[in-house]
Amino acid sequence: MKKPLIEVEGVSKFFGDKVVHDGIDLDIRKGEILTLMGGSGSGKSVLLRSLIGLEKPDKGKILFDGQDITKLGEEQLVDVRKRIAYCFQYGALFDSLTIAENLAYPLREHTKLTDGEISERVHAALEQVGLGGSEELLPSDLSGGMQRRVGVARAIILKPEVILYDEPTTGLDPYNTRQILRIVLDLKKQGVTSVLVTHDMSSIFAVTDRVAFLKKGKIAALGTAEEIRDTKNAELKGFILGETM
Amino acid sequence: MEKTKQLLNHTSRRSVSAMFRAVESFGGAMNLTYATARALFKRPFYFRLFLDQCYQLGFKSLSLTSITALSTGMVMTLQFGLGLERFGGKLYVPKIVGLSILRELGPILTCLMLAGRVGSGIAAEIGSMKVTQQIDAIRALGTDPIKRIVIPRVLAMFILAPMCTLFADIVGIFGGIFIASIELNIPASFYFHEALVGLRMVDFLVGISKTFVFGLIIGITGCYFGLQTEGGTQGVGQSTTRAVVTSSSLVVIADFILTKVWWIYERGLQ
Repeated sequence: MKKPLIEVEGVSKFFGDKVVHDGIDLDIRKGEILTLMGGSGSGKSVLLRSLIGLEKPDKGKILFDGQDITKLGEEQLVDVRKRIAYCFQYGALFDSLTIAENLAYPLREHTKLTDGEISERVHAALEQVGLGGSEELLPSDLSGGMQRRVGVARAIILKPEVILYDEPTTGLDPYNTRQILRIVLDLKKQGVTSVLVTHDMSSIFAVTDRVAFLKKGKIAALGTAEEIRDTKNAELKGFILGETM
Repeated sequence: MEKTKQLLNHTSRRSVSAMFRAVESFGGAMNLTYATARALFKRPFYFRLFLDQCYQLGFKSLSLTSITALSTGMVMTLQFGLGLERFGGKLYVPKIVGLSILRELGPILTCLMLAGRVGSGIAAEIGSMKVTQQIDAIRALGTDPIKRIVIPRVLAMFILAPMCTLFADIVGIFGGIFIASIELNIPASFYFHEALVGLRMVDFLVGISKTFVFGLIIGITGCYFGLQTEGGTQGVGQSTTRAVVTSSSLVVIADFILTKVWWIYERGLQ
């Protein structure tokens, strides 16, 4: 069996007295779409942030391609962050830069491409998320859903191996939700590994390969989308049906 | 009696917690200063961002600092003119006003104005970036917020605070010349000559050297409180207030310490 691309081993995280993660173990396989599911405050987003080094676990390891990223400093994490991209919940676009400048940002920082090549890549990325022609607009000129799609375009522009999505479809209209899910599936076809944090059940079962259910700081259930949907676990069933937190 | 006891307990608890917060903030700001100094000489360098901040923080503050200096020069000349005229000392007005502006009022008033305008602006801008996850985005995109956000602002303040002060000194002295010639019947050429001849290079250096430290204080404090922002728009407001209060207080405290250091040095020379 192939070695997982990301291995989370015994990760614990505390915020003061609050236990966010209590010895989490999780493998993420290359090319799969894994969804982290759980109630509010169950530590899904903290786990997602830990996978790119935005949060440091208090205990345990996170191995990316065999390298423990919890031991790396900000400078050493740069190489990891070129290979793992993060899509923020509300896009987190730089509001003082145009859309084109937002997308060009990682290219200017990490590549030696010419201005012409950067423009081409920016245009292609915007086309991919269905927002061609919006290069000169400011983030404030776009709707929330469009901003998130630009956030996805910025994340994929360096052609990362892994993309982490923090609630990519929460609060979006059906059109924008479909657009985001289409992008996730398109990227899967290109071999990109995706990890999603979401509460949106229809999204989970539409695109995901596996689902991890977080409860009380632990992975309470892990399985394929079908296994999770047809679960006999009363707690999980209650969560999916919206009867319990 | 019981209520007084409760009130005292509550007050002492709040005082202790405020003291802890102050110590924590001081430590955090020192850490940020150290990290900034370490990152300053490492690639990449964002020269364009630095120039942009020079324009935003320095050039755009010139009108405010100039109005303050002009008004100070004019008011001081009027006040000293009125006071010294009674003792026949009106002709000392240019020297006294020039000395006061160069050594003390130019630097301190300029930097207090900068602490208000620039310190609050930096804290609000960075705080807004923090609560909208733009600072996290800078990190997630493999770049360093200290290099992109902190260094351009701190460096701009380090260089622009003395520049603004120099400009304010000149404007302040010209304000004095203007009022002296209109209200005190002191000829402009006499005022200018007396103000320049009566001053030494060390008077200028005492004032301008302090502003490098004030600039650093304003830049670091604004960035520190901006980066510490939590909790949405309310948090941004709180950070902005803290940045202005802290940087203004630190500027005034540093002013006394630096003045004392210069005083010891000058006494040693005599």
